[in-house]
Amino acid sequence: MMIQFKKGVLELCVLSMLKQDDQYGYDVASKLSQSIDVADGSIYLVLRRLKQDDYVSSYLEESSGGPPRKYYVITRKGEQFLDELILEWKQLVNSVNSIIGNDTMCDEVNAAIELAQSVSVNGGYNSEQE
Amino acid sequence: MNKSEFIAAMEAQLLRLSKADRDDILNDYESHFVNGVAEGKTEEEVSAQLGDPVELAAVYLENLPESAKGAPYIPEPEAPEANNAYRNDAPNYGAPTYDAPQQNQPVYTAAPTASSEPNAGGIVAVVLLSIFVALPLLWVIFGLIMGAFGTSIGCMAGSAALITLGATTAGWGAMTATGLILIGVSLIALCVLCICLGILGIKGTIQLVKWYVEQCKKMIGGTK
Repeated sequence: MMIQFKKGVLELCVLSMLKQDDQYGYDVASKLSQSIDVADGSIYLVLRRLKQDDYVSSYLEESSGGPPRKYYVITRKGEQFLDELILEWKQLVNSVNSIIGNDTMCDEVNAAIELAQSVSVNGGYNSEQE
Repeated sequence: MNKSEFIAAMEAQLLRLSKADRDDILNDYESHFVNGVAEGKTEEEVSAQLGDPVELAAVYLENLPESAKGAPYIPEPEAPEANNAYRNDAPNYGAPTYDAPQQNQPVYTAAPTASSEPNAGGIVAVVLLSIFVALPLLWVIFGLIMGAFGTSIGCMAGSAALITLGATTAGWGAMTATGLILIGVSLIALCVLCICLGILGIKGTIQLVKWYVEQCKKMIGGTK
């Protein structure tokens, strides 16, 4: 069950990461697998699919002491798609929370706590929140 | 397995693809190994974290654009789970069979489903509704808004007249003059109110029309 969830949200996570910063495949894969238990290989599947759908594009950049790296960048279309994904995700989370009886306010409270912490740590910049 | 074994295993599965596609895909994994080793991992470790090359390759084949567009990411509850058991390291990305029709998923899907055909009944209903209900209603609202602006002009004129009268004609007593001026001032307020109502009316009507158009689209049967 958890696996089905994870596959559904991989696109959301990858797009979200690329919106913050252009990254190359290995970077995305290792960062993601730190948080989510998923095979690194699936990340390349996601990236390729996103590229086919024009949600991301790629460019090559020279790297020191190695072959050029393929960086992925989110497109305008991808950003719009990401907004839709985030909205659907939030609705899903809220619906499930209300069904299983969790206080849906928890999300807002957690978000507020995160925001407060990041403001104090980063001096005001937090890319995750709206 | 080490890098060359991994790449070879994937390549063997991807022979069906064009050389360009195949090389493009394999390059990703080639670079992944290079980066992993540069970080100090062994090829075995990198390979283990990547997952099974045969299963990865299978998904690339299933994910060919023609068949994969619009396919749901999360398999239907009733889809057979017997083939390719969902292990944590299995990169089996999406449903085992992609000929599942585009149905509305109860769970979160990323790809929009295909649109249904426009239905004739919906079109007829929309036309009738528009002619007999929406348009007349629109005229009424339009009339009201015009009325609001008209009233505001009238108030403006009336207030100007009264104030002028009260302020200039010497014949009136002080109290009458003051009274006239005050009425004139309140008419100005009324004028402003009517203008605001008129503007709100216009904004509200625009929203109403937008909402109505959305409903019509839905009734005809197009999707988002």
